[in-house]
Amino acid sequence: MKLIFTEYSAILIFFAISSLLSSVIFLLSYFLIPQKPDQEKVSAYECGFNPFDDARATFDIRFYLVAILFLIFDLEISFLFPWSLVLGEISIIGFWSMIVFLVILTIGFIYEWYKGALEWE
Amino acid sequence: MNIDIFLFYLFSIFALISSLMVIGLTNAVHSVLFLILVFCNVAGLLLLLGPEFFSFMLIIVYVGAIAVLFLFVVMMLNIKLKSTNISFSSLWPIGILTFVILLSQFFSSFYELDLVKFQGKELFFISWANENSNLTNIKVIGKVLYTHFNLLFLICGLILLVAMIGVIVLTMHQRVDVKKQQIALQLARTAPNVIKFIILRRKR
Repeated sequence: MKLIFTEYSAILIFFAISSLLSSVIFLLSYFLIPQKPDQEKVSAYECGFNPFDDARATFDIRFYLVAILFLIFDLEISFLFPWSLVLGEISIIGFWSMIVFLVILTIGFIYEWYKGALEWE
Repeated sequence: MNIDIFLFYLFSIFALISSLMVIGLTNAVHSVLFLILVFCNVAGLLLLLGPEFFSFMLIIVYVGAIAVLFLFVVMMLNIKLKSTNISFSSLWPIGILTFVILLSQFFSSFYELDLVKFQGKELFFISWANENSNLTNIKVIGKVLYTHFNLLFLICGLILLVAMIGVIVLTMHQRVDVKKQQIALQLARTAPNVIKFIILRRKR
């Protein structure tokens, strides 16, 4: 057993307790309530009307654009994280390589800004 | 039973079951949700191997972003629930081929590398000096990534730039007829320029 497992054992205990608790609550709410299913009860409630349309409607591709842009800057942050930890120990070229990396991504960010990809219309 | 072997079996059984559910379910949204479960379990397996930073990066990137992209793709494709009866007989040869390749790689990786040492029951040596030398996983990565593997790092940045520009080029469609709020124009608007008196009926 490695040493890091002892540090993560608290998270493991949290996981065990939370899964146990959620399954207990789910099973109690499943078994304790009276279950008399009805046509009107199990159908989808849509403001008192009958459902107009399928719930699985297609939506705009602009959400996808926002998600990909989020993913890219998320990766940028996760590259920044080890760099910020070892910044005092690596040579100057490590610093400047991160600066070049940030400049490359900033070019993309400026492009995105002027292209209006962040505006929602 | 040793706790890490137990955890290894737990994570791998969950990963196996949920990956079977991914390919088995007909509802695409449910299979994406099970794919997220596969990612979480694989991150747990990676945590058992030791590289904690990679494990959390796997959770952040795959679960936090890529699974969301998968969900978006599923929601955008307008897949209706229908029972498709595809004959699987034409898929058998390529399926068996893929299965044999994966199985051979699986066994070779387990018997040659012996990744989690769950075969032998013998004691193995833990060098507490190495475990305790204050050089965490993230520092090990950071020390080589920005200096020694400098070029790969910058190429990674360029790939991200290509992805960013590509997604903007592919998905941006600028509509011209949208009325936007232009604050400068609104503030520059004064009453004498706007209000105009029209004489409707001339006095005689």
